[in-house]
Amino acid sequence: MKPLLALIGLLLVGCAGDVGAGDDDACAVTLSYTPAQPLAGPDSEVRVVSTVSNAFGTPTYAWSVTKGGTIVPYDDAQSDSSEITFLATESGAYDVTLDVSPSSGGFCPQGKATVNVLNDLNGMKARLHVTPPASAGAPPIDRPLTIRNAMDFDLGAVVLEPGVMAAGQVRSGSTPVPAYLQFRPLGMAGAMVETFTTGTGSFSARLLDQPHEVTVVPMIAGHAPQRLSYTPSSTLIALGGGMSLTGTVRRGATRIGNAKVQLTIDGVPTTLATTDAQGGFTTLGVPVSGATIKIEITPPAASGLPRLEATGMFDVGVPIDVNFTQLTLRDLAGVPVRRAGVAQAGKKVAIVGTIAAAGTVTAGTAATATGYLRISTTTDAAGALPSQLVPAGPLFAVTTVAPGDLAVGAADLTGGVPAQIDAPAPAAFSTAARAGTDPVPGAMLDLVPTGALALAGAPALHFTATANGLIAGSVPAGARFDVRWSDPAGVRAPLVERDTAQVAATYQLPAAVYITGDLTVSGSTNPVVGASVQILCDACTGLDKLRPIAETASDPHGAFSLAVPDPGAM
Amino acid sequence: MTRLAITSALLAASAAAGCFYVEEINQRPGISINAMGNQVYRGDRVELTASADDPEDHVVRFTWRAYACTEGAGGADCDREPFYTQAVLDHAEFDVPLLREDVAVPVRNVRVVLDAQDDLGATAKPSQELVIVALDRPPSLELARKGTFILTPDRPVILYATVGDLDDGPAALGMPTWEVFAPAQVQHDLTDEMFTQNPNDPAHRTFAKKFTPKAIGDWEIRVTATDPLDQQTTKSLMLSVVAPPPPCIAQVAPIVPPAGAALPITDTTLFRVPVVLDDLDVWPPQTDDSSLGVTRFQWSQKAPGAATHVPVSGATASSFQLDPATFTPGDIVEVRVEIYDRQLTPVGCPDGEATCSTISMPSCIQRQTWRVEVR
Repeated sequence: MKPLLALIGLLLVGCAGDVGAGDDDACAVTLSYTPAQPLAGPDSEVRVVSTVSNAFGTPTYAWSVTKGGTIVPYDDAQSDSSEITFLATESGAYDVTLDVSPSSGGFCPQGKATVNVLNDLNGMKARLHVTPPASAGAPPIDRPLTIRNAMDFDLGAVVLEPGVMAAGQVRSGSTPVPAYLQFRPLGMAGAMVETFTTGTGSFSARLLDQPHEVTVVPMIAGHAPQRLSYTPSSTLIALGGGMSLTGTVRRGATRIGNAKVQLTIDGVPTTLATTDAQGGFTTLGVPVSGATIKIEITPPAASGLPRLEATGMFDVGVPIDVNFTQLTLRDLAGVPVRRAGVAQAGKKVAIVGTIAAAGTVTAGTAATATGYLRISTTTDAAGALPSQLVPAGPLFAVTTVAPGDLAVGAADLTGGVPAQIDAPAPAAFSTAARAGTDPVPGAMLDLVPTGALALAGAPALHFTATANGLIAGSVPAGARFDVRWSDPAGVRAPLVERDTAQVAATYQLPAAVYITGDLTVSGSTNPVVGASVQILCDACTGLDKLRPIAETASDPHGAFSLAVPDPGAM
Repeated sequence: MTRLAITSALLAASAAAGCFYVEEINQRPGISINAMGNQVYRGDRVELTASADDPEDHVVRFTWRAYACTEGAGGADCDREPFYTQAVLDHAEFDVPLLREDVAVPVRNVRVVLDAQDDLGATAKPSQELVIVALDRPPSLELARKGTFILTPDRPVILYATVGDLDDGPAALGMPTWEVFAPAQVQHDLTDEMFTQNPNDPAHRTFAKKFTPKAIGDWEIRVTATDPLDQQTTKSLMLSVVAPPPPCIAQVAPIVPPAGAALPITDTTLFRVPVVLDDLDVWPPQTDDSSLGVTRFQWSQKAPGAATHVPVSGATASSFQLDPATFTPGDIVEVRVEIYDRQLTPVGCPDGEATCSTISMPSCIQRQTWRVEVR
């Protein structure tokens, strides 16, 4: 029982300020504090304990406690002054320093600790993602972070591990395999390191010195992508043989040839297969028992069928049956595309839409497949669409009238082919970023397409506000967007409004709290300059997991400061 | 009369009177002051030694006195009381006072008086005197600039002049004078900048100026500090102002495949430039330097079968989203980003080149291209 209690005790003690590491004989001063997460209050007492090693003689202690440059009173908690207590009446960062003078006359480095005193234990879970420059000699980190309500938080020293240079070769048996590699440290999947091997399968990458998973995507045919365990000391990544996964793509009794088929098994893709004239396909993959499998089938564009996606716990040991629903197909031939009555000749038009039950996938178990239609075509000289089959249903036409001038028009083919497809003129908007009643000069606005515009692969639109915080622009009429605001000055926090059809006249950028810290590499006194430091969403999925809530680069002192939304104000 | 003559006479008298005992007369010691020089700065430490020549080789004891003076020679304009006395040793060691005691004026000379007496009481005559000239030390002056960024026209830089004066203290110094020597007489701005003095360094004061050069070339910032006695120290800071270098892509994500390879993507991928280094416009925005702006980005795309990269209208953020589902699996697509600062220097390399450096420096590129295989 005692060892367990001791371990719990260690976990509950906040710790910082380990100075002087690296020399076993050098004096070292370490400060730790309890409680690990102090809450502000009139009686909230924080105890700071010093641990001094290699001082050689009886040390004397000179403490300092400040908050925002103001001295905070403290009391000795030990007769020799090796421990102190202070009252944390307000939330925020308390800076504690300790100068130790050994009676031997030797030198001890100053001990430092930042005690972050919280308002409450509520907060928003996020991730701190740091990608140092190659010159820093450290792999990236991606670690949990809690953004606290209504308070700035000083992370203190954010110490990167130098890791190790892992080098080796990817082989299948004795055959070298050139490949694309993704290394993910266990327990820190976001700290992914990518590399390509040479043509002979050789690789080298700086990794954390701990077990990893490596995803190998071979660049030559005949080898299945796969995920393997890897330790950086290993010089060989040995590929397994993979397994041939077979199946058929059909639409009822009609076999569909020249369709592209790919599976993703537990996040690892198989090779890309193309169906033969009989709709049969064979792909190479590595089955994983009980894994979620995504199957994607892209039929030839001329078929008019949507791309199918189905996810389930399929048994890929048996042939996979992909069956498109008997969708009604309509030919768009001759349908004019017009803007304000004017035919749009020679314009690129993407017919897009989502079809809920576009097919089924059966392999041990059956799953309904969703259809995603993205068919690209071009109007003729008269502004009419050429012959092109598309499924009947409520679809959209995204017309590129001119570079930067996209139009989203309804293309409802439910009851038949429409008489025309409209390409509405862009909708002008003006908007402003505000901080209360004040403008946010230079605020940046990104309109990230959703819905039809996203299906058509339209890019995000980027705007920068004037000195008055104003933005005027235009967006495709009928389009929907995620509205993303950020303040490059870091005064206000970013704002995201999801899937909206209109840009509002004003947006109030939320109040910010600041996350600060200093980047160093373990064993080095040099600051890490020019590292990418990002706060990422922890609960998000997909691309939102990679979009920074806030980002910066570490300054010449290795310091960084990030303005993030105050969770307490959200 | 010489010592030899006196001794001979006494011996002759003694012989004439029969038994006659005469004790030898004790002679005075001869003394001198040894100094390394006769000029020091006020506040400096002075070390002197004394030499004695006693005819009977008696032990000689010395007495040192040092007076703070304005003139010093012959005791003129000296304090009545010595600021240093020492009565035994053959050496003296003292710091030259900054001001006289009797009248609060700077010390110009130090009058050192050395007396000596042997152990039978014979006093050296005359006393030895040494007048040491106490010079006024010129003020100290150190110049520095803020940051290490490359200086470019119209970009302000903060300059620091840190002054001190060991003689009279930094408070006695006025504000240093600043002169700017511009290349070809072009304009510049030099304005006062607030600076919070370091409370841990009371011996120095720092003055700050914001300097904005208006043209490229070599600029000289000459600063002169003057102390109350008109001693001056002048130093120059040479600033080389150059044409703004282009911005440099410092980090990209995801990884760029080597030539001939393609990055396989199965999901919507965010192509990003997390860090751009530049002296004008950086990414991510820096909040602590108002002179820095934000990098401009332009993304372009080369669709399967297309001949060239086509800029994507509106794609001017630091990231670009590519959904592989908008292409056919197996397609090869190229995603390209080019960056600009306010100079808007064209990235003029041929379209077929995956990277481009407008200054032909591979470590500083303004274009990056990803070759992507849609899966």
